[in-house]
Amino acid sequence: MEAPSEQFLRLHPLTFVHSVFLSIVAFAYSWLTSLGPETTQFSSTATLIFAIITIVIAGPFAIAKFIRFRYYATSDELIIYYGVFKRVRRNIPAERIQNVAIKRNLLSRILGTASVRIETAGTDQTEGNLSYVGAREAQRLKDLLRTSKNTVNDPPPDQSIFSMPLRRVLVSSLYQFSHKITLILFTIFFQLLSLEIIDVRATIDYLVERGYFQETVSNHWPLITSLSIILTVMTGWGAGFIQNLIRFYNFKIELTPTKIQRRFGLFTLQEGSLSYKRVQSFLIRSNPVMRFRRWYRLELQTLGLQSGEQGFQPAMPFARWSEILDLAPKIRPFTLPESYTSVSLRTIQRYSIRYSWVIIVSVALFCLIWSTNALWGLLILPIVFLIALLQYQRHHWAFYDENLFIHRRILSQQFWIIPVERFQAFEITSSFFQRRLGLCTLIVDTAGAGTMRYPRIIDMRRGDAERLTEDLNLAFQRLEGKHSSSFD
Amino acid sequence: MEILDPAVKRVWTIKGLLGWGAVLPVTLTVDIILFFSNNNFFPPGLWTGILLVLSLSWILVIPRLRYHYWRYELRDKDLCAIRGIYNRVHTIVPLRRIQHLDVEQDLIEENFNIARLVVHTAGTRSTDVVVPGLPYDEAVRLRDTVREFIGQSID
Repeated sequence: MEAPSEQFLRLHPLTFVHSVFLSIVAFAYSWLTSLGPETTQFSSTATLIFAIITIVIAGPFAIAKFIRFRYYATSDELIIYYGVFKRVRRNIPAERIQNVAIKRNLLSRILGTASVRIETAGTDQTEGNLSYVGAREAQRLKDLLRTSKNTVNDPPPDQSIFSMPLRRVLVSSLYQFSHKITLILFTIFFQLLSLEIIDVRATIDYLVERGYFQETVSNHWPLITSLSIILTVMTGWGAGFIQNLIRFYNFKIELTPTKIQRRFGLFTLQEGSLSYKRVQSFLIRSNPVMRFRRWYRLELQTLGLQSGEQGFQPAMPFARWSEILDLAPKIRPFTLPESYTSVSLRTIQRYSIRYSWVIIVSVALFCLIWSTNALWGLLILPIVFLIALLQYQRHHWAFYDENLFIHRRILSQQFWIIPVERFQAFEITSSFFQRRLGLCTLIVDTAGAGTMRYPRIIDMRRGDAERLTEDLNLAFQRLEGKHSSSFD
Repeated sequence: MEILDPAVKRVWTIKGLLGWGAVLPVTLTVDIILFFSNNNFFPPGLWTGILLVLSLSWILVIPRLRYHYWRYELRDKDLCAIRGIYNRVHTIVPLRRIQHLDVEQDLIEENFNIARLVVHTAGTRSTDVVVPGLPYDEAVRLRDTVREFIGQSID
């Protein structure tokens, strides 16, 4: 392979600071988690040896990677040379570039660097990632690749179509709860407990001595349990508040004739554009508290590098229903249907049996290993029927105006809108029990859908599912026949 | 709808034997360790016995059932596949959505002159739809037919 010429540029030298920072975090984490009361000389030595090996191998590797990495951009193409063991030259023609995204985290902003990611039409992977270049260089690259003669240059949008002022970001943060951060905080808490840096018993005794509790109260386990639950909820809520505030601070979304432009973030500033072609479906979500105050969240299921959160992009993190219905159809037109079709009533029977079975087995197990008091658990059996009934009531669908609409779930409700031209494949699945009841599940596969969250209609009548699949397939074929643009 | 080549039952049986056989050294090691460790709880050879019963049942039953339920059909504008024993899955892939096609054949399949047609789409769940147990010539014919369709639809 020919060597890169003098015109080729290197990454920013401060790229090393990012690597060193990440290494320190990783080392601190592994060191902390390896500590504990049962820490032996052997495990400490093993951790140290592991750290030294990591530094000895990772250090030179990072340097080699930096030396090998070169790039050269013109308005026609971006060329990247990279690879330590396997050397690669990648040419990305500018006409294939759909998006140039710049991301700056807190460290980048302190160091004046930025990471530039290149998204193309032909793949759902990041085609090029320049981590890190100078902030000005990032902007130069973005402008240069945007001004490509083959790239459609949209006029800049006149005004922000949707933005979240600080007040709305703060209000939206009130509705958030973070399970992940709560879990991390509790892991750290239990690690500190095991290191005996925190002693719960001693803290309670201290509080009793200071007269905050009575002796009898401190021995009362339901109180301690209740306090722990309240603390957990408060921690999750606080963490969710901060996370949401940091993430969606100054959120702005603007629409050009072909692209969606977004900019948001407090510490990590994210800005980039997303082609309408990459939007596969709309998902409107809400939890019970949000719904109570009539707030919703619009996400776009996308194909491409910015596919965070299981392939979903927040388009309107916190908005009124009317605001969503004003913006979303500008990305891909749709009209909401007047009526929806329910799934089969037999879904209540199937869910009731399934949940009852789980409860009965759990109660039996608890009876065996704990006490017959577990039989009280059978009292929740009637609730099972209620949940199944609510699931039936909340699950309905409609195929209208070349879009498939699906409503699902009770608490964290989902409303899917899938344009017909985005269908990739159709799947009708039926488990053993569904077949006994004449039911099945229809799954509409789209590109870039998450493995956990994807559009499906559960427990349809078999005939309905077959008819709908036929209708969807016919509509797809008709539309594709018209446009012949399925290989975009 | 079309059925698969019956030879696929033998291919699946051989693959099942190889798969279960790979677990055998593990259960044998566990049983030997238990035998020499004054264990009174587990009877000797328990885990290997369980493995043999499970693997024999699997090998005798599953390939036949899989074969029995597998159906496929290449229609004018889509490829249709029905399969599954417990969970029955009926997939329809519009031919326009096919990104590329592969005819795959491993050593065992080559011995029985059968192949798999692998259909790649950009979808997430049905990214790869694999039609196994096709006579090699039939797999190639299907691939060429679909390729021709894709070529025409692009032109």
